[in-house]
Amino acid sequence: MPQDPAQLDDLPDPLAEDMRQLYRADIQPSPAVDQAILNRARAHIAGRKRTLLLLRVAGAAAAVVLVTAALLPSLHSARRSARSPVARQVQASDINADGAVDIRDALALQRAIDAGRAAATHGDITGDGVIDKRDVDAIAMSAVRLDRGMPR
Amino acid sequence: MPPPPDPRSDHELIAALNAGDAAAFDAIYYRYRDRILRLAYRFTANHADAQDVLQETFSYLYRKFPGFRLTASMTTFLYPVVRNLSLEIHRKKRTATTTNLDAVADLPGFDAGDQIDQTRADLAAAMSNLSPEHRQTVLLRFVDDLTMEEIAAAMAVPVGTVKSRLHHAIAALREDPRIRRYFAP
Amino acid sequence: MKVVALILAIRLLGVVAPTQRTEAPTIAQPATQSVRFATVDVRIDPSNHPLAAYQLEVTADSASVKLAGVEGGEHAAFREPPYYDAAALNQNRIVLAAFNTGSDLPAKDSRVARLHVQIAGDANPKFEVKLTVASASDGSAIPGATATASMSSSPPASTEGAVP
Repeated sequence: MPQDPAQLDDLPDPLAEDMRQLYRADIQPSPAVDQAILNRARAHIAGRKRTLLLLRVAGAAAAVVLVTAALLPSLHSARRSARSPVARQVQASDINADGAVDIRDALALQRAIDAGRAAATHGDITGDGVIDKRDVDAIAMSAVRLDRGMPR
Repeated sequence: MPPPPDPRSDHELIAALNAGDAAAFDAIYYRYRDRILRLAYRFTANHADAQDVLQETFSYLYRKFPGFRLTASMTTFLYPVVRNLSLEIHRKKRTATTTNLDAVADLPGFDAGDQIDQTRADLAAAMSNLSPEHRQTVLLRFVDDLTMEEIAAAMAVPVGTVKSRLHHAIAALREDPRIRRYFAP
Repeated sequence: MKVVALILAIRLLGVVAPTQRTEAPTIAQPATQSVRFATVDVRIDPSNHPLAAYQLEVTADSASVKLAGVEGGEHAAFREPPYYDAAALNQNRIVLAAFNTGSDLPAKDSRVARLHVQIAGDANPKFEVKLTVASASDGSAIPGATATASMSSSPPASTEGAVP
């Protein structure tokens, strides 16, 4: 008869105490390290605050220009892509262009990154402007999803 | 000297930071500094490396502002960062191909010639019989007092794996004749 | 074009703050009935061809099985846990995948992953494996590669620090 699982996953108090005595990490923080971290943090946050304010002012001005341009009648007819956003992502993830998204696409992208030819793959799956391991991971995670709504 | 503990919650401090209140970072730093440092030391087994990981972890955090949203607890957000940074240091230092953080020495800091009582020696021997991953799980749970979710985040495994490892590790310790007296009724 | 310009305008106004993607922790619910743990070893035999990538699906034939954890394999190339969908935890089906771009790859039968499972009651489940990808470094399929999944009811003895 199996024992209560809760009891099996705990240690007797004397054992836990002896373990703590034996293995407690004996490390103290350094005041110099504390000050260095906090100073850098304050400098970064203060700097970002100023930059953000400048960006918002510039952004508001640029937004006015863009909205005006967007509302003007277009000179050329717009060609809407027939693909849905999901289908576009599937196409981007199919690095080896075999019609399926699987772990081989992650392998292909990683090999391209290692060889310095990632730019040729259009593998910016995460859309952050960089093709790196995060995009490789995104493809791999897509391959193992249980509810794969995207076509193979 | 750390300031008095800030009564605001993590989310309130993060909101203040997003609004540009740099002093709120001090509160978060002192609230989590010791835990981060102990975990970094658990992974690196080296004082200097642990301090480096501490610095880089909080650098990683403050660079997220403004615009950061905390969707889990601070520890489950930061512990994987500690692990990855420790792994990076570990990779740079070791020439072997393995990058198994859990195999980093975490045995007690005494030399073979030290006089220690038999009880502690038996415990150390029993612990050394566990696999690195199991030993690490036990230490994080019972020495560093991490929750299951925090251990999962720190070791980059699902909570179910943590529970399974803990279960098997404790079962193995229970069967070890050298420390059986702890489990006697 | 208009849509793109409007979206850009909105972003510039800072209405939509950049978000930080974080992963919420997965919390498994404890079993409320008598359960036992077991491990399922997933093995691939690449028929003497270096295995660089694999993808497979493992399904238990019983709903009394719940996945509790996933670990990596015995060869250094696949020692790290494979990719898998966290949604598979607490279910009886999982898709695993991993790759390695190095040159030290397994060419013989080896364990590529170990699943920790929680079995309720006295069930003795069987596990089916569907190997969808077994490829070499260049992505080409390895002919004749096979996969198996076998369960041990108690963890194997630990050897040389390997995770049982």
